[in-house]
Amino acid sequence: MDSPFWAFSLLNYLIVFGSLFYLLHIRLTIKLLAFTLLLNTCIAASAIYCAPDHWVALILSVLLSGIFFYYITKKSIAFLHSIVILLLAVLVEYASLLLIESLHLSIILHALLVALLFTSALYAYKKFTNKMTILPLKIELLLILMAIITFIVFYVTIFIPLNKGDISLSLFNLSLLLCYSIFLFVTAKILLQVVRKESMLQQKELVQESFYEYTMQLEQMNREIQQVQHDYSNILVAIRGYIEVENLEGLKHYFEKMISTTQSPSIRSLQQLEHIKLLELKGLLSAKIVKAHNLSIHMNVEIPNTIEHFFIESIDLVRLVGILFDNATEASIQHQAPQIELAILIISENQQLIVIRNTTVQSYVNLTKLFEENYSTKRNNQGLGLYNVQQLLKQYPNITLNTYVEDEWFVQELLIERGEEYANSNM
Amino acid sequence: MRIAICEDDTFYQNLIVETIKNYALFQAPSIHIASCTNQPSSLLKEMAHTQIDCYILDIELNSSVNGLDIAQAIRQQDPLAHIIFITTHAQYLTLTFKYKLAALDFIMKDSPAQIQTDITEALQAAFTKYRQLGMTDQTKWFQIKIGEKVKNIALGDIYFFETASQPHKIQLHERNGCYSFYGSLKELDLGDDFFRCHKSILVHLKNIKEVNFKERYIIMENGSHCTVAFRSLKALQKALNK
Repeated sequence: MDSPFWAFSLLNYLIVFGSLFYLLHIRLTIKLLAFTLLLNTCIAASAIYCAPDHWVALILSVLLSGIFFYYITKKSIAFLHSIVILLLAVLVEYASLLLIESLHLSIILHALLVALLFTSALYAYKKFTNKMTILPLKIELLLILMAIITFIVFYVTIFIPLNKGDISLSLFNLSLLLCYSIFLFVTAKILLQVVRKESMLQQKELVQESFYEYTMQLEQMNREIQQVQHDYSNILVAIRGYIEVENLEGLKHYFEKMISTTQSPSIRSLQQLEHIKLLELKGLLSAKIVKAHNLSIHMNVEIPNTIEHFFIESIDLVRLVGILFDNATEASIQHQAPQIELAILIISENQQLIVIRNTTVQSYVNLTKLFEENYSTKRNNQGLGLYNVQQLLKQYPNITLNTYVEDEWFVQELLIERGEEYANSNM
Repeated sequence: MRIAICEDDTFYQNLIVETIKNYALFQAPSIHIASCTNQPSSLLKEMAHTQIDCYILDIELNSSVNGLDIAQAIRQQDPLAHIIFITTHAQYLTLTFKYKLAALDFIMKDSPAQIQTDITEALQAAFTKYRQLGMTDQTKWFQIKIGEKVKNIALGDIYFFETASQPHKIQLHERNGCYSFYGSLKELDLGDDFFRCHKSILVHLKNIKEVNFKERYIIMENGSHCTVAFRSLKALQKALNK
């Protein structure tokens, strides 16, 4: 092949794949390099063979790079990135063309200008997307749609007149489009801000709801304490009776019996929750504990240290713990002495551990089946279950989940490590 | 099963020794006390030259070294040793003890009668575990650390390892559970029983139920499926025939 082909394909490679590697934080390996070069050659070849119809190569480029990077990273944002990169490239190319034409500069300067403008645009775009957290699917689709429409508009307004040789018209269009795309970026930014605000609002609502739940449990606890106080006065009267007739054996018996019944486990468990400063979690756990208590499951909660925040978003933490707790409840019911133990521990500065274990008669294989079946058949479960745990874990590489059966216990361990990205999310 | 005791309160020490002797006499004559001391240093010396299977340690010792330090030293030397802590604190803190101190059991300083029943129960658990270790005779274990707790998984129970959906992590599937940990399949060196049937799967040959060579997948004893790479088919057949 001739040299323009190679020059074009190299340029395309640097622009499309180079910037995607940069945007998605992927380390370059020989294997990846070979794959992407192959894809790039396909794109370049299609561009040459369908020379007058640029759109073939452009669509191919978006599709191939988008699918490839989605396959590697499993992040759907790859599609958006690949479209936006092409948009940026086109914009930059024609912007520099506009400058060159008006100032009558040389080709080398043109190339330099393109490189400079493109890197700065890419840098700005990265800064812009870095602030983006994980988007809801709806918003992401909307953004992709916006980008695609922009792209079509670009194509129609720039490429078609250019093919007819009318450079001045296409330059005029370009300056219009520049304004248009700046306007679009601003709109996108506002949209993202609104989305973020909405999710924050949702979280606040959750906090409020949990807090309400927690106060309800506290009231319940208060009633129980009053009950116990009442019981105590009765017990004292009974003890007095034993003492008066000097029935020591009977007193001993009565005392043993009473000491085992008067300690309310749910009160002790709820007291442990004082150490959690995260209202959402506090509310969830208090509700779950009382629910377990009503199912006559024996509860024991251990939270020896105060916990201010976790290393993951509290909304996701609450979902995770909720699912694990439901699993434990479900798995303990058939046991003759159902019991759930929960511990939230700070192992070190960088590690937090949540352990939930329950007595069970099932084997591990049966347990996993139980959860899958239950959650797929429960319709109004709002999509909980093991599948959702897996989905959540994909978002957080800093979480490790172990589930196993040990003796009579079904154990679920959730280890949360400090990850740089999530470290400050709940501060 | 050889037991070592480290407790500096003579009352409790005598109580423990007596309980163990009683239990050994009536239930399990193979249990005997190899060492009984109130000095951590002498226990550490004893440890170096005798094989001890079960330790009973007081956490609050009147010494610069406490029971937790001893436990850590023991863990380094013998990850499978059974450690039972005795303590006055830690009411209702079973899990905290397990995960922060790697204790297998702990006994609270309560009324003497209660302590005796607790010790007997703990001994029973330790002895059952000891005998299980003896029966599997292989000292081949795969260890996973969660907090300070070490989970020992018998290699024979493992079905397969696979690269997890989370980066740099491996998922281990075994008879009683599923775990994930940092690492790569390349680093795992577990002998000839394990076969790399796919880029992302390391399978235990002894736990294969059947292989579908046509569709290229393995069914494990627990019913889970593992894909086999095309170029590993021949090697798999060879390994299975061995």
